[in-house]
Amino acid sequence: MTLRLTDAEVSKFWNDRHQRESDLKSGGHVSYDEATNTMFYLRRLSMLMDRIGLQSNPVAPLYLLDAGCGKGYFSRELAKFGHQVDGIDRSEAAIAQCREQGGGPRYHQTGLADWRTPWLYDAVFTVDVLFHIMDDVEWERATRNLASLVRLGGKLIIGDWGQDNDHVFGSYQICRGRDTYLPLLDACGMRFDSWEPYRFRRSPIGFYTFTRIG
Amino acid sequence: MLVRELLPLFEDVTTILEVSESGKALQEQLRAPEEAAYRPYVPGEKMDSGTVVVAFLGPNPATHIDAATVAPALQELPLGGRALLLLGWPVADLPYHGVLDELINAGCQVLQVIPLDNAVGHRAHCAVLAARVDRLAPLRPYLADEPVVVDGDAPDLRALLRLTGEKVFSDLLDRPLRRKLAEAEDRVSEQDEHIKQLEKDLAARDATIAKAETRLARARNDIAKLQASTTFRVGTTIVQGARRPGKAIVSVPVGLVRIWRKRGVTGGTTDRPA
Repeated sequence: MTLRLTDAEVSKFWNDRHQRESDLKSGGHVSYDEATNTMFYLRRLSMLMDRIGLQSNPVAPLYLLDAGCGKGYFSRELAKFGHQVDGIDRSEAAIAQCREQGGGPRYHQTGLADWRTPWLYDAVFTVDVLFHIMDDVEWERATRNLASLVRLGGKLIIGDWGQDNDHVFGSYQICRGRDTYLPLLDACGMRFDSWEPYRFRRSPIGFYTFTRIG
Repeated sequence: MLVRELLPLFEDVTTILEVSESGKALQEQLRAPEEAAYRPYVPGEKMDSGTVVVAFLGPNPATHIDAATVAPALQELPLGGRALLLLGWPVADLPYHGVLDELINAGCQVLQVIPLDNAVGHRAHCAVLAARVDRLAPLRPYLADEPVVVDGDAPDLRALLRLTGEKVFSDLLDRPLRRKLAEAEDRVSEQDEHIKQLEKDLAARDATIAKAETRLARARNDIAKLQASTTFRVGTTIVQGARRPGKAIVSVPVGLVRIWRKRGVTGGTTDRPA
Protein backbone atom coordinates (compact mmCIF):
# COMPACT_ATOMS: atom_id res chain seq x y z
CA MET A 1 0.00 0.00 0.00
CA THR A 2 1.36 3.44 -0.97
CA LEU A 3 1.88 5.84 1.90
CA ARG A 4 -0.32 8.93 1.48
CA LEU A 5 1.12 12.33 2.26
CA THR A 6 -0.77 14.46 4.76
CA ASP A 7 -2.11 17.82 3.56
CA ALA A 8 0.68 19.61 5.42
CA GLU A 9 3.23 17.39 3.66
CA VAL A 10 1.56 18.02 0.31
CA SER A 11 1.69 21.79 0.93
CA LYS A 12 5.38 21.56 1.75
CA PHE A 13 5.99 19.33 -1.26
CA TRP A 14 4.43 21.92 -3.60
CA ASN A 15 6.14 24.87 -1.98
CA ASP A 16 9.51 23.13 -2.40
CA ARG A 17 8.65 22.10 -5.95
CA HIS A 18 7.70 25.66 -6.91
CA GLN A 19 11.07 26.83 -5.62
CA ARG A 20 13.00 24.04 -7.31
CA GLU A 21 11.42 23.52 -10.73
CA SER A 22 11.03 25.75 -13.77
CA ASP A 23 7.89 27.83 -14.41
CA LEU A 24 5.91 25.22 -16.32
CA LYS A 25 7.35 22.05 -14.89
CA SER A 26 6.70 23.03 -11.29
CA GLY A 27 2.95 23.18 -11.82
CA GLY A 28 2.73 21.04 -14.93
CA HIS A 29 3.61 17.41 -15.48
CA VAL A 30 6.92 16.71 -13.80
CA SER A 31 7.77 13.92 -16.27
CA TYR A 32 7.38 16.18 -19.31
CA ASP A 33 10.16 18.41 -20.53
CA GLU A 34 9.68 22.18 -20.90
CA ALA A 35 8.51 21.97 -24.53
CA THR A 36 5.96 19.26 -23.81
CA ASN A 37 4.70 21.17 -20.78
CA THR A 38 4.32 24.23 -23.01
CA MET A 39 2.00 22.22 -25.28
CA PHE A 40 0.20 20.77 -22.26
CA TYR A 41 -0.46 24.25 -20.83
CA LEU A 42 -1.63 25.58 -24.19
CA ARG A 43 -4.04 22.67 -24.64
CA ARG A 44 -5.65 23.33 -21.27
CA LEU A 45 -5.69 27.10 -21.82
CA SER A 46 -7.51 26.56 -25.08
CA MET A 47 -10.06 24.34 -23.33
CA LEU A 48 -10.55 26.98 -20.64
CA MET A 49 -11.19 29.58 -23.36
CA ASP A 50 -13.89 27.32 -24.84
CA ARG A 51 -15.63 27.24 -21.49
CA ILE A 52 -15.16 30.85 -20.40
CA GLY A 53 -16.07 32.18 -23.81
CA LEU A 54 -14.44 34.46 -26.35
CA GLN A 55 -16.05 37.75 -25.32
CA SER A 56 -14.13 40.46 -23.55
CA ASN A 57 -14.95 44.02 -22.60
CA PRO A 58 -12.53 46.38 -20.87
CA VAL A 59 -15.27 48.50 -19.30
CA ALA A 60 -17.27 45.62 -17.84
CA PRO A 61 -14.88 42.66 -17.80
CA LEU A 62 -15.38 39.05 -16.74
CA TYR A 63 -14.18 38.10 -13.27
CA LEU A 64 -12.32 34.82 -12.90
CA LEU A 65 -10.81 32.88 -10.03
CA ASP A 66 -7.79 30.65 -10.68
CA ALA A 67 -7.92 28.35 -7.65
CA GLY A 68 -4.52 26.76 -7.04
CA CYS A 69 -2.80 29.06 -9.52
CA GLY A 70 0.75 27.82 -8.87
CA LYS A 71 3.11 30.20 -10.63
CA GLY A 72 0.20 31.86 -12.38
CA TYR A 73 0.41 30.70 -16.01
CA PHE A 74 -3.37 30.50 -16.56
CA SER A 75 -4.01 33.67 -14.54
CA ARG A 76 -1.58 35.71 -16.64
CA GLU A 77 -2.75 34.29 -19.97
CA LEU A 78 -6.43 34.91 -19.18
CA ALA A 79 -5.63 38.41 -17.91
CA LYS A 80 -4.13 39.10 -21.35
CA PHE A 81 -7.62 38.58 -22.79
CA GLY A 82 -8.92 41.48 -20.70
CA HIS A 83 -10.41 39.42 -17.89
CA GLN A 84 -9.95 40.36 -14.25
CA VAL A 85 -8.32 37.39 -12.59
CA ASP A 86 -7.71 36.54 -8.96
CA GLY A 87 -5.16 33.78 -8.38
CA ILE A 88 -5.02 31.92 -5.08
CA ASP A 89 -2.53 29.33 -3.92
CA ARG A 90 -1.33 28.01 -0.60
CA SER A 91 2.34 28.07 -1.66
CA GLU A 92 4.18 31.17 -0.46
CA ALA A 93 6.96 30.57 -2.99
CA ALA A 94 4.51 30.31 -5.91
CA ILE A 95 2.60 33.46 -4.93
CA ALA A 96 5.87 35.38 -4.50
CA GLN A 97 6.89 34.40 -8.04
CA CYS A 98 3.45 35.28 -9.42
CA ARG A 99 3.67 38.76 -7.90
CA GLU A 100 7.18 39.18 -9.24
CA GLN A 101 5.98 38.37 -12.76
CA GLY A 102 2.93 40.66 -12.48
CA GLY A 103 0.92 40.76 -15.68
CA GLY A 104 -2.44 41.92 -14.30
CA PRO A 105 -3.86 39.24 -12.00
CA ARG A 106 -4.14 39.78 -8.26
CA TYR A 107 -2.72 37.04 -6.11
CA HIS A 108 -3.56 35.88 -2.61
CA GLN A 109 -1.86 33.23 -0.52
CA THR A 110 -4.66 31.04 0.81
CA GLY A 111 -6.04 27.53 0.66
CA LEU A 112 -8.94 26.70 -1.66
CA ALA A 113 -11.32 26.12 1.24
CA ASP A 114 -10.34 29.35 2.96
CA TRP A 115 -10.70 32.04 0.27
CA ARG A 116 -13.26 34.64 1.35
CA THR A 117 -14.27 37.63 -0.73
CA PRO A 118 -17.27 39.94 -1.00
CA TRP A 119 -17.34 39.30 -4.78
CA LEU A 120 -18.62 36.38 -6.84
CA TYR A 121 -16.99 35.20 -10.07
CA ASP A 122 -18.21 34.54 -13.60
CA ALA A 123 -15.99 31.49 -13.69
CA VAL A 124 -14.00 29.63 -11.08
CA PHE A 125 -11.48 27.15 -12.42
CA THR A 126 -9.09 24.81 -10.73
CA VAL A 127 -6.67 23.04 -13.03
CA ASP A 128 -5.31 19.75 -11.72
CA VAL A 129 -5.31 20.90 -8.11
CA LEU A 130 -8.22 19.24 -6.29
CA PHE A 131 -6.77 15.76 -6.79
CA HIS A 132 -3.75 16.83 -4.77
CA ILE A 133 -5.90 17.42 -1.69
CA MET A 134 -5.45 14.11 0.09
CA ASP A 135 -7.92 14.65 2.94
CA ASP A 136 -11.50 13.97 1.82
CA VAL A 137 -13.04 16.43 4.30
CA GLU A 138 -10.69 19.19 3.17
CA TRP A 139 -11.37 18.30 -0.47
CA GLU A 140 -15.13 18.66 0.11
CA ARG A 141 -14.66 21.96 1.96
CA ALA A 142 -12.56 23.25 -0.93
CA THR A 143 -15.01 22.08 -3.61
CA ARG A 144 -18.01 23.55 -1.79
CA ASN A 145 -16.22 26.83 -1.21
CA LEU A 146 -15.24 27.15 -4.86
CA ALA A 147 -18.82 26.41 -5.91
CA SER A 148 -20.16 29.04 -3.52
CA LEU A 149 -18.01 31.66 -5.27
CA VAL A 150 -19.72 31.14 -8.65
CA ARG A 151 -22.44 33.64 -9.49
CA LEU A 152 -25.82 32.63 -10.94
CA GLY A 153 -25.19 31.51 -14.51
CA GLY A 154 -21.45 31.30 -13.90
CA LYS A 155 -19.18 28.29 -14.48
CA LEU A 156 -17.19 26.02 -12.23
CA ILE A 157 -14.43 24.23 -14.12
CA ILE A 158 -12.54 21.42 -12.41
CA GLY A 159 -9.64 19.37 -13.74
CA ASP A 160 -9.96 15.75 -12.58
CA TRP A 161 -10.65 12.36 -14.09
CA GLY A 162 -14.04 11.50 -15.56
CA GLN A 163 -14.56 7.95 -14.42
CA ASP A 164 -16.64 6.74 -11.50
CA ASN A 165 -14.98 5.85 -8.20
CA ASP A 166 -12.03 7.53 -6.57
CA HIS A 167 -8.54 6.40 -7.50
CA VAL A 168 -5.25 6.94 -5.73
CA PHE A 169 -2.17 7.64 -7.84
CA GLY A 170 1.10 7.55 -5.89
CA SER A 171 1.42 9.27 -2.55
CA TYR A 172 0.05 12.71 -3.40
CA GLN A 173 -2.83 12.32 -5.82
CA ILE A 174 -6.41 11.12 -5.34
CA CYS A 175 -8.69 11.46 -8.35
CA ARG A 176 -12.28 11.74 -7.20
CA GLY A 177 -14.80 10.01 -9.41
CA ARG A 178 -17.67 11.44 -11.37
CA ASP A 179 -20.00 9.76 -8.86
CA THR A 180 -18.37 11.88 -6.12
CA TYR A 181 -18.42 15.22 -7.94
CA LEU A 182 -21.88 15.19 -9.48
CA PRO A 183 -24.03 14.61 -6.37
CA LEU A 184 -21.99 17.02 -4.28
CA LEU A 185 -22.18 19.85 -6.79
CA ASP A 186 -25.81 19.14 -7.65
CA ALA A 187 -26.56 19.75 -3.97
CA CYS A 188 -24.66 23.05 -4.28
CA GLY A 189 -26.98 24.25 -7.07
CA MET A 190 -24.58 23.43 -9.90
CA ARG A 191 -25.75 21.79 -13.12
CA PHE A 192 -23.33 19.27 -14.66
CA ASP A 193 -22.66 20.30 -18.27
CA SER A 194 -19.87 18.05 -19.44
CA TRP A 195 -16.60 16.27 -18.81
CA GLU A 196 -14.07 16.47 -21.62
CA PRO A 197 -10.67 14.77 -21.52
CA TYR A 198 -7.54 16.78 -22.21
CA ARG A 199 -6.64 14.29 -24.94
CA PHE A 200 -3.02 14.96 -24.18
CA ARG A 201 -0.79 11.92 -24.50
CA ARG A 202 -2.32 9.33 -22.19
CA SER A 203 -3.57 11.70 -19.52
CA PRO A 204 -6.80 10.36 -17.93
CA ILE A 205 -7.65 13.85 -16.71
CA GLY A 206 -10.10 16.33 -18.22
CA PHE A 207 -12.34 19.25 -17.38
CA TYR A 208 -15.66 19.01 -15.60
CA THR A 209 -17.85 21.99 -16.35
CA PHE A 210 -20.74 22.98 -14.11
CA THR A 211 -23.11 25.96 -14.35
CA ARG A 212 -24.76 27.59 -11.36
CA ILE A 213 -28.51 27.36 -11.78
CA GLY A 214 -29.67 27.70 -8.19
CA MET B 1 -30.55 48.97 13.70
CA LEU B 2 -29.70 47.67 17.17
CA VAL B 3 -29.35 43.96 17.91
CA ARG B 4 -32.24 44.16 20.37
CA GLU B 5 -34.49 45.49 17.58
CA LEU B 6 -34.00 42.37 15.45
CA LEU B 7 -36.14 39.73 17.16
CA PRO B 8 -39.25 41.97 17.20
CA LEU B 9 -39.13 41.79 13.39
CA PHE B 10 -40.22 38.17 13.72
CA GLU B 11 -43.73 37.59 15.07
CA ASP B 12 -45.07 34.49 16.87
CA VAL B 13 -41.69 33.33 18.07
CA THR B 14 -42.01 30.38 20.45
CA THR B 15 -38.50 28.91 20.46
CA ILE B 16 -35.07 30.38 19.84
CA LEU B 17 -32.28 27.91 19.13
CA GLU B 18 -28.73 29.19 19.27
CA VAL B 19 -26.19 27.29 17.16
CA SER B 20 -23.16 29.34 18.21
CA GLU B 21 -21.97 28.84 21.78
CA SER B 22 -21.90 32.40 23.08
CA GLY B 23 -23.00 31.56 26.62
CA LYS B 24 -25.52 34.21 27.57
CA ALA B 25 -24.05 36.87 25.27
CA LEU B 26 -26.36 36.54 22.28
CA GLN B 27 -29.44 35.90 24.40
CA GLU B 28 -28.81 39.07 26.36
CA GLN B 29 -28.07 41.18 23.31
CA LEU B 30 -31.19 39.96 21.52
CA ARG B 31 -33.27 40.55 24.67
CA ALA B 32 -35.24 37.45 23.85
CA PRO B 33 -38.89 37.69 24.99
CA GLU B 34 -39.65 35.76 28.17
CA GLU B 35 -42.49 33.85 26.54
CA ALA B 36 -40.06 32.27 24.06
CA ALA B 37 -37.82 29.39 25.11
CA TYR B 38 -34.13 30.11 24.45
CA ARG B 39 -31.77 27.13 24.32
CA PRO B 40 -28.76 25.72 22.49
CA TYR B 41 -29.45 23.90 19.23
CA VAL B 42 -29.26 20.10 19.44
CA PRO B 43 -29.10 18.20 16.12
CA GLY B 44 -32.31 16.37 15.31
CA GLU B 45 -34.43 18.61 17.55
CA LYS B 46 -38.08 18.97 16.57
CA MET B 47 -38.75 22.46 15.24
CA ASP B 48 -41.94 24.23 14.24
CA SER B 49 -42.82 27.44 12.43
CA GLY B 50 -42.37 29.40 15.66
CA THR B 51 -38.69 28.47 15.75
CA VAL B 52 -35.94 30.97 15.09
CA VAL B 53 -32.38 29.71 14.60
CA VAL B 54 -29.80 32.26 15.76
CA ALA B 55 -26.00 32.32 15.58
CA PHE B 56 -22.89 34.45 15.43
CA LEU B 57 -21.06 33.67 12.17
CA GLY B 58 -17.74 35.16 11.23
CA PRO B 59 -13.98 35.01 10.90
CA ASN B 60 -12.95 34.57 14.54
CA PRO B 61 -13.20 30.92 15.69
CA ALA B 62 -13.14 32.06 19.34
CA THR B 63 -16.44 33.93 19.00
CA HIS B 64 -17.95 32.84 15.68
CA ILE B 65 -18.97 29.66 13.91
CA ASP B 66 -18.68 29.10 10.15
CA ALA B 67 -21.49 28.67 7.65
CA ALA B 68 -21.09 24.89 7.47
CA THR B 69 -21.73 24.63 11.23
CA VAL B 70 -25.08 26.40 11.05
CA ALA B 71 -26.16 24.41 7.96
CA PRO B 72 -27.70 21.38 9.79
CA ALA B 73 -29.95 23.65 11.87
CA LEU B 74 -31.08 25.56 8.77
CA GLN B 75 -31.85 22.32 6.97
CA GLU B 76 -34.04 21.15 9.86
CA LEU B 77 -36.14 24.34 9.82
CA PRO B 78 -39.74 23.58 8.86
CA LEU B 79 -41.71 25.77 6.45
CA GLY B 80 -42.20 29.16 8.07
CA GLY B 81 -39.25 28.60 10.41
CA ARG B 82 -36.86 31.53 10.53
CA ALA B 83 -33.19 32.28 10.94
CA LEU B 84 -31.40 35.30 12.35
CA LEU B 85 -27.69 35.17 11.61
CA LEU B 86 -25.35 37.83 12.97
CA LEU B 87 -22.29 38.18 10.74
CA GLY B 88 -18.92 39.22 12.11
CA TRP B 89 -17.35 40.51 8.92
CA PRO B 90 -17.31 44.25 8.18
CA VAL B 91 -20.10 45.05 5.75
CA ALA B 92 -17.73 46.51 3.14
CA ASP B 93 -15.82 43.20 2.90
CA LEU B 94 -18.67 40.78 3.58
CA PRO B 95 -17.84 37.33 2.12
CA TYR B 96 -21.48 36.28 1.93
CA HIS B 97 -21.04 33.44 -0.56
CA GLY B 98 -20.74 30.66 2.03
CA VAL B 99 -23.71 31.82 4.11
CA LEU B 100 -25.87 32.34 1.02
CA ASP B 101 -25.00 28.85 -0.20
CA GLU B 102 -26.10 27.22 3.04
CA LEU B 103 -29.32 29.25 3.20
CA ILE B 104 -30.28 28.35 -0.35
CA ASN B 105 -29.37 24.69 0.13
CA ALA B 106 -31.70 24.69 3.13
CA GLY B 107 -34.56 26.24 1.11
CA CYS B 108 -34.36 29.56 2.93
CA GLN B 109 -35.10 32.94 1.40
CA VAL B 110 -32.91 35.84 2.46
CA LEU B 111 -35.50 38.42 3.45
CA GLN B 112 -33.26 41.24 4.56
CA VAL B 113 -29.65 41.98 5.47
CA ILE B 114 -29.45 44.75 8.05
CA PRO B 115 -26.34 46.70 9.06
CA LEU B 116 -26.03 47.01 12.84
CA ASP B 117 -25.55 50.33 14.61
CA ASN B 118 -22.99 48.95 17.03
CA ALA B 119 -20.52 46.30 16.00
CA VAL B 120 -21.10 44.39 19.29
CA GLY B 121 -17.40 44.19 20.10
CA HIS B 122 -16.71 43.17 16.48
CA ARG B 123 -18.89 40.11 16.93
CA ALA B 124 -21.53 41.29 14.48
CA HIS B 125 -21.60 43.97 11.81
CA CYS B 126 -24.85 42.99 10.11
CA ALA B 127 -27.76 40.59 10.51
CA VAL B 128 -29.36 38.24 7.99
CA LEU B 129 -33.09 37.62 8.29
CA ALA B 130 -34.16 34.47 6.47
CA ALA B 131 -37.09 32.08 6.40
CA ARG B 132 -37.71 28.56 5.14
CA VAL B 133 -40.13 28.87 2.21
CA ASP B 134 -41.72 26.82 -0.56
CA ARG B 135 -42.58 29.90 -2.59
CA LEU B 136 -41.19 33.41 -2.63
CA ALA B 137 -42.05 35.50 0.42
CA PRO B 138 -42.94 39.19 -0.06
CA LEU B 139 -39.92 41.35 -0.87
CA ARG B 140 -38.76 43.75 1.81
CA PRO B 141 -37.13 47.10 1.19
CA TYR B 142 -33.71 47.92 2.59
CA LEU B 143 -33.81 49.02 6.25
CA ALA B 144 -37.50 48.16 6.60
CA ASP B 145 -38.38 47.80 10.28
CA GLU B 146 -41.93 46.52 10.19
CA PRO B 147 -42.46 42.85 11.12
CA VAL B 148 -41.50 40.19 8.57
CA VAL B 149 -44.32 38.58 6.61
CA VAL B 150 -43.40 35.19 5.22
CA ASP B 151 -46.78 33.89 4.07
CA GLY B 152 -48.04 37.07 2.38
CA ASP B 153 -48.57 37.52 -1.33
CA ALA B 154 -45.63 36.28 -3.38
CA PRO B 155 -44.07 38.88 -5.67
CA ASP B 156 -46.05 39.02 -8.94
CA LEU B 157 -44.55 38.79 -12.41
CA ARG B 158 -44.08 42.54 -12.57
CA ALA B 159 -42.06 42.47 -9.33
CA LEU B 160 -39.99 39.52 -10.55
CA LEU B 161 -39.31 41.32 -13.83
CA ARG B 162 -38.15 44.33 -11.83
CA LEU B 163 -36.02 42.09 -9.61
CA THR B 164 -34.30 40.35 -12.52
CA GLY B 165 -33.93 43.64 -14.37
CA GLU B 166 -32.30 45.30 -11.38
CA LYS B 167 -30.01 42.27 -11.05
CA VAL B 168 -28.97 42.41 -14.70
CA PHE B 169 -28.25 46.15 -14.63
CA SER B 170 -26.43 46.01 -11.30
CA ASP B 171 -24.42 43.08 -12.70
CA LEU B 172 -23.23 45.33 -15.52
CA LEU B 173 -22.60 48.38 -13.33
CA ASP B 174 -20.84 46.36 -10.63
CA ARG B 175 -18.09 45.34 -13.02
CA PRO B 176 -16.41 48.70 -13.66
CA LEU B 177 -16.91 49.64 -10.00
CA ARG B 178 -15.31 46.40 -8.88
CA ARG B 179 -12.43 47.02 -11.24
CA LYS B 180 -11.97 50.61 -10.03
CA LEU B 181 -12.00 49.42 -6.44
CA ALA B 182 -9.42 46.72 -7.17
CA GLU B 183 -7.21 49.22 -8.98
CA ALA B 184 -7.55 51.70 -6.12
CA GLU B 185 -6.57 48.93 -3.71
CA ASP B 186 -3.56 48.14 -5.91
CA ARG B 187 -2.53 51.81 -5.81
CA VAL B 188 -2.93 51.95 -2.04
CA SER B 189 -0.87 48.79 -1.77
CA GLU B 190 1.85 50.28 -4.02
CA GLN B 191 1.82 53.49 -1.97
CA ASP B 192 2.12 51.45 1.22
CA GLU B 193 5.14 49.66 -0.24
CA HIS B 194 6.60 53.00 -1.32
CA ILE B 195 6.05 54.46 2.15
CA LYS B 196 7.66 51.39 3.73
CA GLN B 197 10.68 51.82 1.42
CA LEU B 198 10.90 55.53 2.26
CA GLU B 199 10.72 54.71 5.95
CA LYS B 200 13.55 52.18 5.48
CA ASP B 201 15.63 54.77 3.60
CA LEU B 202 14.91 57.32 6.31
CA ALA B 203 15.92 54.87 9.04
CA ALA B 204 19.14 54.11 7.11
CA ARG B 205 19.88 57.85 6.83
CA ASP B 206 19.13 58.34 10.53
CA ALA B 207 21.59 55.54 11.31
CA THR B 208 24.23 57.17 9.06
CA ILE B 209 23.69 60.55 10.75
CA ALA B 210 23.94 58.94 14.18
CA LYS B 211 27.22 57.26 13.18
CA ALA B 212 28.58 60.54 11.76
CA GLU B 213 27.58 62.36 14.95
CA THR B 214 29.39 59.76 17.02
CA ARG B 215 32.51 60.13 14.85
CA LEU B 216 32.25 63.92 15.10
CA ALA B 217 31.95 63.81 18.89
CA ARG B 218 34.93 61.47 19.07
CA ALA B 219 36.96 63.79 16.81
CA ARG B 220 36.00 66.83 18.93
CA ASN B 221 37.04 64.96 22.04
CA ASP B 222 40.37 64.07 20.43
CA ILE B 223 40.89 67.71 19.43
CA ALA B 224 40.08 68.88 22.97
CA LYS B 225 42.57 66.38 24.39
CA LEU B 226 45.18 67.44 21.87
CA GLN B 227 44.66 71.12 22.58
CA ALA B 228 44.95 70.45 26.31
CA SER B 229 48.21 68.57 25.91
CA THR B 230 51.50 70.15 27.07
CA THR B 231 53.08 69.49 23.70
CA PHE B 232 50.36 71.47 21.91
CA ARG B 233 50.48 74.37 24.37
CA VAL B 234 54.30 74.56 24.32
CA GLY B 235 54.15 74.42 20.52
CA THR B 236 51.50 77.17 20.42
CA THR B 237 53.56 79.40 22.74
CA ILE B 238 56.67 78.98 20.62
CA VAL B 239 54.76 79.57 17.38
CA GLN B 240 53.22 82.76 18.78
CA GLY B 241 56.70 83.81 19.85
CA ALA B 242 58.03 83.15 16.35
CA ARG B 243 55.26 85.26 14.83
CA ARG B 244 56.06 88.23 17.11
CA PRO B 245 59.75 88.01 17.76
CA GLY B 246 59.74 91.44 19.50
CA LYS B 247 57.50 90.20 22.29
CA ALA B 248 58.83 86.64 22.29
CA ILE B 249 61.70 87.41 24.61
CA VAL B 250 59.09 87.96 27.38
CA SER B 251 56.01 86.08 26.22
CA VAL B 252 57.68 82.69 25.55
CA PRO B 253 59.33 82.29 28.97
CA VAL B 254 56.15 83.58 30.71
CA GLY B 255 54.00 81.22 28.69
CA LEU B 256 56.27 78.27 29.45
CA VAL B 257 56.19 79.08 33.17
CA ARG B 258 52.36 79.23 33.09
CA ILE B 259 52.25 75.86 31.39
CA TRP B 260 54.63 74.48 34.02
CA ARG B 261 52.48 75.92 36.85
CA LYS B 262 49.25 74.58 35.47
CA ARG B 263 50.62 71.13 34.75
CA GLY B 264 48.17 68.50 35.82
CA VAL B 265 45.38 71.10 36.34
CA THR B 266 44.04 71.30 32.80
CA GLY B 267 43.21 67.61 32.54
CA GLY B 268 45.27 67.40 29.39
CA THR B 269 48.05 65.00 28.83
CA THR B 270 51.39 65.95 30.31
CA ASP B 271 53.18 64.03 27.61
CA ARG B 272 55.31 62.47 30.31
CA PRO B 273 56.73 59.09 29.58
CA ALA B 274 55.16 56.44 31.72
